[in-house]
Amino acid sequence: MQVAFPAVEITGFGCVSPLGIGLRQTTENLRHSRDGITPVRLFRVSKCHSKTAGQVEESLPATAASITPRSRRWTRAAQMILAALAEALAARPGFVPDCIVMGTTSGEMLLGEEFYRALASGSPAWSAARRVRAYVPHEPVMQAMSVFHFDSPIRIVSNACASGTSALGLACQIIRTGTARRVLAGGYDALSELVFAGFDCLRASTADKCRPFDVDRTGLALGEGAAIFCLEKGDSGLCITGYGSSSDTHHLTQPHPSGCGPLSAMRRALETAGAEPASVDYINAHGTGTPLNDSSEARAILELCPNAPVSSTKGMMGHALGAAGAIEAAFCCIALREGFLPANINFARSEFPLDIVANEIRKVEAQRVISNSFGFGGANAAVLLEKRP
Amino acid sequence: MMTASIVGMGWVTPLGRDLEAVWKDIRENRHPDASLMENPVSKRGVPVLRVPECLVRDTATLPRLRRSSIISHLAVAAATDAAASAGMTPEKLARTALIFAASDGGVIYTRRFYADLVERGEGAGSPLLFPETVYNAPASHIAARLGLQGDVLTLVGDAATSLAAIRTGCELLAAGEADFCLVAAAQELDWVTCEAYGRWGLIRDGSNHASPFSEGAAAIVLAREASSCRVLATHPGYSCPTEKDIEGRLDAILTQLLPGLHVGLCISGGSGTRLDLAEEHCLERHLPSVQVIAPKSVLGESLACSALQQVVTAVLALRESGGGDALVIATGYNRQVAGLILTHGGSHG
Repeated sequence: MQVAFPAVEITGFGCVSPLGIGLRQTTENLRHSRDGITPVRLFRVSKCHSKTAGQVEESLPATAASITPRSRRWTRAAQMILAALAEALAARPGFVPDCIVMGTTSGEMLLGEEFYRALASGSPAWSAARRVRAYVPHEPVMQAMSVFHFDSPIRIVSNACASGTSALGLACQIIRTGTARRVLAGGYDALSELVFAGFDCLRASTADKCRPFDVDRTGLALGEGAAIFCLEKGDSGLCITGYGSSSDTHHLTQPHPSGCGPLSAMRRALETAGAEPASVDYINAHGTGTPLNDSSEARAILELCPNAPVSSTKGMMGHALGAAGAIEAAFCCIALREGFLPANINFARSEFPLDIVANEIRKVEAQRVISNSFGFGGANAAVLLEKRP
Repeated sequence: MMTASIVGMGWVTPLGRDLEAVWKDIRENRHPDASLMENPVSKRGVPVLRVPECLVRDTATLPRLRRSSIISHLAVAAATDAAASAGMTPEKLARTALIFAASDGGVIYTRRFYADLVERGEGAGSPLLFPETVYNAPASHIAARLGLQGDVLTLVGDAATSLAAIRTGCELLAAGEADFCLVAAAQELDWVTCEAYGRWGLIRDGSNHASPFSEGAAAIVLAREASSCRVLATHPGYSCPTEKDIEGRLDAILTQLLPGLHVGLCISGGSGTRLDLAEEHCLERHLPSVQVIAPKSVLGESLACSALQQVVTAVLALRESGGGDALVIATGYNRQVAGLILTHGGSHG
């Protein structure tokens, strides 16, 4: 018994990423296909294979402090959430969520790192112990919500790099079942030394530029950020009309080469919306730039929507892990609203017969787009977004 | 109101893996032996309750799990037992979603991975350890073991997260996303988390009467089909701005959940810490004569896993008593609070 998937309206959204703090700056950087990948400044990487990442610009604390001065003492993750949340709520005054669903991969890993260093050095760890209470992924969300006096329950989704999209999907399901009328949903992740070293030791990150879908791609660049959406029952303007997820039990870190997991998630997203694959105007691919992800995803796209224009925006902003799906859904909303498809930069030659939006934006009045996210543990998620009258 | 049947259960605890035998131990207040977990730097030890290795040898030796951390061994063991007790066939498993609740995730591998970076430099991380540090690693292993290919979600947070996972499972069933939903939770122990929780006064550390930190797992299978035991109502809960706000929010939860019910049993999240006071005061006001069972007093504190063990305990207690309604409350250290009502015996039609 499948309950029809009613559209869920996006009545406000906000975004913080290496491409900008706020939608205005993000839109301009997307429009000009700017490369937001820079040398890592947040921690030492001299012994790592990769030395670059997408980092949110240094004005973040000042932006957050302009919303509430007490955020000066917060972590970068909490500041990112606050900035995205304030922007989303400014677009939808009076929005009070019944529930909050946020995706993240590493939560407040930076605080865990600080606590461990304090313990391992044998130095007094009381200060670190107080701070590590905020290690729990709820905490930065609760800090940001407290500014707006929200006491709604928070569900933190951690489906690795699919977390942001999974959070949007879960939020839609909650609205759909009628247990909540308004949900704040999105994702966040801040760069941390542990996660950076993790992808580096797996040789998943590149010492070169991140080149999604290029024949010479050598890996991903990490990123960070947050995006938050005000979601409510409705059927006009920007909407989430479909969601699909699947589990690929092939391997903990590698997708099944056939692309069966991504295919199943995308197909399900279309089915829930009652949409035909041929009606998809654009796919914002997961497109990490790793050899395995891109070949698996390309197979899935070629099987389902072989003619849809495709780009991965991770070449510009890096892979923001648990925030990626939410940020990329925000990019899709910008694409729908502004009438252009974001570019897949650093692209020279394709290994796959996909219609890649190469290096420059394409002016298209898209109506229906898919945003994909796939992660460790075989987590696959796809969300269908539409612009309605 | 969304409801779901509970058609299967499993758990792995410091006292054993058999549902009835562990329930008997809880009833008789029989405590497992504690061991000491030592901080290798300060040499300070705290008492902890471990699951005997022999209890999860069957899962620890599975090819996919040989390199994984104990949290995955525990999670797969409980999930496998729950699926078996529900009589899950491959056809049913194909229509099953999975929601895994975690508090700390794979903290042992996370600490070991980071220790290598601190001691040997930022390029010294092990590619064998890193993949198991993601919160959803246990869920991935459960899905692989049982052949689940649909919705698989990992929810992270404090004790209330397991009740949120059950509510999410009920929502997925109501939305027609699945016919069954396996809800699982697991907790592993490490000296780093012992240090953190000890410093916050949430586990026994020699200076308090809190429950010892413990490892374990629990799993239940939710179904749309009718059965004698059901999740009758769930409350979405609240995020409390401060610990002082917990009592008021818990009071609101009980005010909304209890009317019209004859709750004779409460499975409390009480663990001998300051967080118990809110529960005690609310129960005095709303259910002054209710029978209260606090499984953490025997099984120890295992955060999100404890809350799911409370639900399993509630089902076992209701079964034994022949029916009725039970309240399960979770008050998390991260100030998330939630509650749900279980019923057994069909008194609510």
